[in-house]
Amino acid sequence: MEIQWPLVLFSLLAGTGGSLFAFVGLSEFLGGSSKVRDAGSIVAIALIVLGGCFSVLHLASPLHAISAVTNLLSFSGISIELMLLGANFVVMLAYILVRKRSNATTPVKVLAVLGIAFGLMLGFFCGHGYVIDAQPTWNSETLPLAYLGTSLACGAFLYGTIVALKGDEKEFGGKLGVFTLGAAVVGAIGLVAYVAFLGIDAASSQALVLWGGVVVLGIVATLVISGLGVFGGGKMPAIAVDVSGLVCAFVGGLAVRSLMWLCATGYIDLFSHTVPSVMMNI
Amino acid sequence: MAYGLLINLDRCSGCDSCIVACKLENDLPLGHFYNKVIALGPTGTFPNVEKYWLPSQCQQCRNPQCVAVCPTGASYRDEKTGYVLIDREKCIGCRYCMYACPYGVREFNEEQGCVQKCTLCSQITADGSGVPACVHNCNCGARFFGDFDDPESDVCKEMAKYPPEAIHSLPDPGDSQPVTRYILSPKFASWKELV
Repeated sequence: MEIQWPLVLFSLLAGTGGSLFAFVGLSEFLGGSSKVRDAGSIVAIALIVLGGCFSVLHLASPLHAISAVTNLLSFSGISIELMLLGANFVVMLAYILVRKRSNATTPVKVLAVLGIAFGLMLGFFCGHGYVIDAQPTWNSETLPLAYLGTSLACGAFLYGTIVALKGDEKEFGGKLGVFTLGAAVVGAIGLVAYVAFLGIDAASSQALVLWGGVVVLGIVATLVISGLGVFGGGKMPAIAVDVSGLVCAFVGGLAVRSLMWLCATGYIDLFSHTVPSVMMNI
Repeated sequence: MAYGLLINLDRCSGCDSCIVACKLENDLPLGHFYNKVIALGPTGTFPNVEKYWLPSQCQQCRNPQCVAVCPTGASYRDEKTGYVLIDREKCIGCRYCMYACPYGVREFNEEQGCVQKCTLCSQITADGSGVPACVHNCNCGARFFGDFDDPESDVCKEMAKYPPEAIHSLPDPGDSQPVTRYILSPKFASWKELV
């Protein structure tokens, strides 16, 4: 099936925004700089808005998005994505406003918890809508796991990039690198699980996407770079680690989403055959 | 009610008249179809070879997956007739229903910005007075239209002439419960499951 780029970019950008805000929320509990939280929140909200803009480009007309919004309670895959997009936007905006206008810690921490939950859910459910019986190569929970994992890895490296630009070494009590490595591991597990579900033969039909995008950049490079952040002894500048990690994780995220579309076969795709009558390969 | 098509493959000659009739009745532009005819075979080794044609279109499922995923309610099943239809005014062109249809029998109309498919010629049949154009124009008398829940309907009466092993439906991966039935007697060819 043809790659639906608006959907690929929507899920990765919005998922990255959600994961980035999950890291902002975590910093409320593990310790971090206010400047990083402020910048992280603004970047996160920008990413989910940008992702939302890409999603409407998939529709016949962007104005049709209004119809989807007015039918939220259909609880289809798209409506769940929309609900989570809205919930993330509201929580992120509320978090920014509360932090600006109040010194109370409880509301901020409540919003941080909500942000962590909604942010991670957004990454997962952007992939969960594709788990349908009619598409055998999508019909596995490993697909939303790959969506979540790659979004999480991108969010972690992006948070690290913001820390490198605006923060200090005490972010997450000095353990940010460990959390970034953890996010990269979740991303790698998601990618390996989905490729294993697809089967190496089917996935290899898209050799460049699989070996170049998913394996080399999405798994190996992302893990190595996040490992350098923890075990590298500070030899490599933090900004270099995080930016290069972000690029690799982002390409890995694009690659697995592209692989999903390219390997889609349909259960019985009767109309893929042209008229006049053709012989099926049976 | 569960209105739908019964297609007797023992009689289908693969002439494609149903495709032409459908395109004319529904004013479908070049390259667009609500139905297609697929040749299955020939299979086997001479002299024991066989082949049959499989006219394919929306299977009018009782539990349609296209309806379940539609974010706007544009895809719906009319509970009175069992027709699975698309409200073009509500369709936003997200194409989710196309991904969710197990049989790949929907298509996207770029010009109109909406998904389209077989409607059982509801413009003719909704009031119960007529039959779909593909049924009316079938040269071989292979196509039947009616209510599968009514033993006196054309489809049930035709099915009653055949043993159970000659009556088939497309494989159902997710409890979609397709209504459309095909008759193919083993003496003509063995039914292929396609998956």
